[in-house]
Amino acid sequence: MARSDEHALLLSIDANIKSLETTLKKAEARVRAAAADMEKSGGRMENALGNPNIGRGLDNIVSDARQRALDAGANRLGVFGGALEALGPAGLAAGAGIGVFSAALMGALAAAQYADELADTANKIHITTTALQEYRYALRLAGGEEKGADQALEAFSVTLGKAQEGLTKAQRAFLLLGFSQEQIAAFRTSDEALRAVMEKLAEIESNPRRDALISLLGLDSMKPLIQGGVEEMERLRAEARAVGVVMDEELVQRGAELNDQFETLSQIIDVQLKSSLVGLAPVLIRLMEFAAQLSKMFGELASGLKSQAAGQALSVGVGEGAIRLASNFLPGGSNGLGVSLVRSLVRQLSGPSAIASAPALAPTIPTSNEAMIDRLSGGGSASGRTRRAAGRAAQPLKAVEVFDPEIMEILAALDYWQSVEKRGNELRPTLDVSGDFVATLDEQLQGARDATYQSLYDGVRTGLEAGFYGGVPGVVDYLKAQLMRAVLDSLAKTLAEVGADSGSGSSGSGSWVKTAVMAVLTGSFATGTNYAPGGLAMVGERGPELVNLPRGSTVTPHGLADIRPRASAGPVVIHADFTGAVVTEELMASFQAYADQVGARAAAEGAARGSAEAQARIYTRARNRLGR
Amino acid sequence: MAKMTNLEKRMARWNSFSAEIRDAVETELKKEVDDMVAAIQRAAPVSDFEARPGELRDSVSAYPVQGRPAAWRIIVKAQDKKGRYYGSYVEFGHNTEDGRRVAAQPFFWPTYRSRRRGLRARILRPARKLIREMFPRG
Repeated sequence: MARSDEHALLLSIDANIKSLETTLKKAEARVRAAAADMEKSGGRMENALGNPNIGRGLDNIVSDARQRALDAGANRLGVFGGALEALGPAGLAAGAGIGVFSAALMGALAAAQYADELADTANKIHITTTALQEYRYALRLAGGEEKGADQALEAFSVTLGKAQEGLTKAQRAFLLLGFSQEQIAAFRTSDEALRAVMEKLAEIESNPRRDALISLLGLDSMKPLIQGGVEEMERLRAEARAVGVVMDEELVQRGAELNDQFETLSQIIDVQLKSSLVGLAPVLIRLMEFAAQLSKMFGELASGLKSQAAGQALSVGVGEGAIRLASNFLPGGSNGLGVSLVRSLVRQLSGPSAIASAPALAPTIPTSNEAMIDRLSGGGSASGRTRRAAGRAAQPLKAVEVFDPEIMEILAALDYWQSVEKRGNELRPTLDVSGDFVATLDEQLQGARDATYQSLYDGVRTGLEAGFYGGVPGVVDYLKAQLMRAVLDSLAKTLAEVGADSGSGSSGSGSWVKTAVMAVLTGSFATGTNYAPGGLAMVGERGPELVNLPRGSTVTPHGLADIRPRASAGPVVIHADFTGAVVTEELMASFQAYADQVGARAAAEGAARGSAEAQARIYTRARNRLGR
Repeated sequence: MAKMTNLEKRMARWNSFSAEIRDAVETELKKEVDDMVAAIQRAAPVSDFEARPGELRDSVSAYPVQGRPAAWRIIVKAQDKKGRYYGSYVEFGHNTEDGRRVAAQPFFWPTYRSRRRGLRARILRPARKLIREMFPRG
């Protein structure tokens, strides 16, 4: 490969062609082996066709192939695999059956087509199918092509026919060979005439003359066989029969008949498959559309959860579920305690002048796109990139506005609750944590939350089903139901969980319901009031208080509301559980005032005591210095 | 029948391949030869004693072998004023006319030795891949 030159540095590089040739030969050997296997398979197919019990043979082939396909899994199922796999093992088996049966059917059809073509060709050139197969085999071994035998025999048959009809041009070659008019007319088949012609041709010594006559007879393609002579041709034809490449006449005829049946059946199957695909197309398209909408919905939910209150995200694309949430907020149905309670809560939280209708909540729910973008991007000073991102996030939120005004109130309430709860969470570490009242209330509200969750789930599920099946009138078949059931269940569960946890912040599940009920309190009146707005209020949070109860008022007994003051004159310990609870501005102001008061008193006492101690220390030191 | 020479055998084998396989071999062989030439050029020393600094480096070239398929030669053609190829003198070291010893600065054969491992396999790899595609394993 490399050598150095005495004078110049020289290096030869060449390719190892011999190695490449070995590789090529191995590859060709593999192909030959595969071809041999295929021929064996073809033989089995022929045997199956030749078997009196054709159906059983076909069944055996199909069963074997089906078993192999099942073992191989669903990857080889073709176009139906993906869809049928979703149906589980039954679908897998059905798909394997369809695919393998189609393959077997195609193989059997090919064999029958071969027999049919053989019969048609033999009829066309007026020889038997056996003779045609023998001529094909003999010509192939003599160096020609099988197709050439068909062409030559057909051309010879035409020439013979014309000669028998008396056409001079067609008779010319026969006459030159020494046949008489009577002999030409006496030939009954092309096979018989060809044999006689070949015997005459063998007697001609001049090769050019023999070639010219062969050409005149239209036997050019069979020249390799004719040149071998009649004896050689007969030997090859006998060999064809001996090695078994000649299909029996009766079998060929049955194969031709089978071909007609197969063609009819395959046409039926083809039409049926296409029809089923056409019928399935709307479902598949609908499924794809739904998947696209689903992905978009989840994206919007994620955006909403990131940028806005969870309650807003809840309502994006799930209007019906949100309505059910409001309607089932507390037991009592949709007409009374549902949406109206939300209004009441908002009114109590925001003050009497703030909430009368949805438009009054404009500051919390921006109505214009620009306002929405401002809110999401953090104001007009945000960069262009931030504002563009906010614009994208605002699109799903804009969808909120198309819902019922009641939804707007719900969203406003949830938004407000979240802000209030945040303040409560900030103050929680500074306060003593206990309180049976809140704990009991929590337990009671847990049940309400569960009921709300179930209602929300049902609503979301109903809404999704209506949305999906709404565009597909007619019967919901098994396939659609199977494909969609898991998707709908999963989606409804996810959305319901999002809805039930909305507004909870970091407080845990159920706390937003607790927050809502705590917010029903009209206030705390330690400092007294001339005009209580009515409704549930907290009293006694700083000690004994006198309240003027209206008729029919309810008093919660000790144990359930253990927040009454101690009777002693000692320091008042306030027990309260602010886990997820709302701390109103007024209540927090009172706590702050109390803390200030106690702190100031402690500071004054400390200062006075420190001053006294300092004076005493100075006095003692002076007395020691004076030696007294 | 006369016995075939090795070259005739090689030609017969080469002609038995399809045009795609021959193209694949020739393309990859040319690429490997070009890479080898570039590597030798990078290793070749450049001296101020040359008639033109860099003459030895620039004289490294390759050419196909006439009459032999899939074969190339790489040669260092730099010559001195007397027409002598001085690449081998640089490669192996030599004595000057005034008796001084000039140390060897090997650049040719060490470069070849460092790259010859797997060279033939690399040349045939695309052709083998092509054969696998033509005759896929069952």
